[in-house]
Amino acid sequence: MTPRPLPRRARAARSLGALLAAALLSGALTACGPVDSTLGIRPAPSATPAGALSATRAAEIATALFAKAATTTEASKAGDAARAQVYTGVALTAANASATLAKVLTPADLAARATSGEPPVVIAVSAGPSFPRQMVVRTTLKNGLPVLHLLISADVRSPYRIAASATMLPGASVRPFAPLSGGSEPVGDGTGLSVTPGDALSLLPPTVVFPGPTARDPRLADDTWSQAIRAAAKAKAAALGVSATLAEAHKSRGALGGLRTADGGALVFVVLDRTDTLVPKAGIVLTPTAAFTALTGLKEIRKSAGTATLEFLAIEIPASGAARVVAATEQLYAASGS
Amino acid sequence: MPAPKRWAAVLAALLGLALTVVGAWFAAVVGPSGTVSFSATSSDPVLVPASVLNRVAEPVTVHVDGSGSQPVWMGVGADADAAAVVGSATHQLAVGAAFPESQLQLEGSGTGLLADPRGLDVWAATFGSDKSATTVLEQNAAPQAVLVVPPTGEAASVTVSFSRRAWFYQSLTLLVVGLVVLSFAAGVLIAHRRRAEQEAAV
Repeated sequence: MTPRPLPRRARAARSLGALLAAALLSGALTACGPVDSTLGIRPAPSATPAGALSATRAAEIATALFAKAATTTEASKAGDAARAQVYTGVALTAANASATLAKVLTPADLAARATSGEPPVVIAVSAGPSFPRQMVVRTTLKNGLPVLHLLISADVRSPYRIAASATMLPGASVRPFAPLSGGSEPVGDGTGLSVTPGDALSLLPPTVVFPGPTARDPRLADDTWSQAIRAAAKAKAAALGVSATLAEAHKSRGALGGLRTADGGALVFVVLDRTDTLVPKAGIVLTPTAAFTALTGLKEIRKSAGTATLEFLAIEIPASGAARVVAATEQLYAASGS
Repeated sequence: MPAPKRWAAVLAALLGLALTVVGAWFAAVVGPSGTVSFSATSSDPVLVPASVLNRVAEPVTVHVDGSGSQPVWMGVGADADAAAVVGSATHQLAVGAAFPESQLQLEGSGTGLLADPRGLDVWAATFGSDKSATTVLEQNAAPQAVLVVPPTGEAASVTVSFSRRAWFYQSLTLLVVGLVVLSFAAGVLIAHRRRAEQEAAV
């Protein structure tokens, strides 16, 4: 038997049935889950390892902080309180001491510290959402030397504050960091570096101890800062001649932080505490420096004198090869004597 | 026409009508820009997290309006940071958006006053000088959250608007498919009725 062709209406009805089936099928599919994707609704993305701050926001924060820093130079309780809003840790100690000693600075000292007035440049921000968050910022002195600063935000409610500042050594350079949008990994325990930050820090004091002998580990390259420290100690000892003895010791105050550079190395900020001990020979009376007098009130030294100086250093540690100090700044902060 | 086919045509007509009505209504609600808005009012701080704000690929607009004369403060930041700032302080957490009620669903949480969040470095953007403020959040900064702090003793309304033009076109598609189904079904039913009338006349 030959099947009879369906009439036009019946064919239309069959087409409609197919359409309905398709509609129901798609309805069933959407009920199974893809409704959201059909409507373009997706799960919220989880945290990405991008920079903790956008470049714009980081620049805003740095600009505001350094503008505030420029106004907190008064040597007073109020000045100390204002500086506590800008600096943190040993950098606050150094900033307060700097304010106290500003009155005895020579014109040459003032000129060496004068800033160019150019806005700070954020060169690295830490990646990811974890705290403490860090930022490396560059400012420029009037004499053209760049200054590297480490800014740290300890937790979500702690604003960024300056944790360390160190002036670039002549001829030194810093390897580039990852773009701000992606952020730079914190140094952490130093995995993957030629030497851990802690070890690099411990290698520094033997290179500058006075009187010697000095010792340099091959993991730490010689640098102009170490040379200058040794030369200055020798010059001071020579100036004292036979009238007094001088000893300098450097003690680690720890690694303050740092970020990885794009090539797998790192820029680490550390601080040393240098103690200068001066003992006059019997019967000799020495006239102290103006800074010593400003801190102690003493106008002469008969038995001994000691000063404590914070040495902020930025050390570039490569993935392989020797680490090197690339920036340094020191600040006398305490003195005693009799 | 056999009864089952007639019933299928009736069901198809009803389905077509439903699709048409839903499509037309949805198109009218979202408009050509494809925008849906959800609002809530609270006198407590309101945290709108990434699970609400970052669910579409398109920018999301958040608008706040104070009920009094004082300015309302709003901060935009990373989701985890905003949650950490709020911590266990009293606040309303936006947990979802109810459609078609257009309500931002809030859930009370925490105890104690929220410590002042103004001036923290974690905010990518802040607003706090007017009694109303609007921000547009780009999705490339996700996951992000918005914290709204009404002035003490006053309430603020928070409106989150999602704009996705595809929603309008999807509504139109639904409308057109509904009309097509309805037309087919109606045609079939009308033809059946005419045939039945002709048969009765004979």
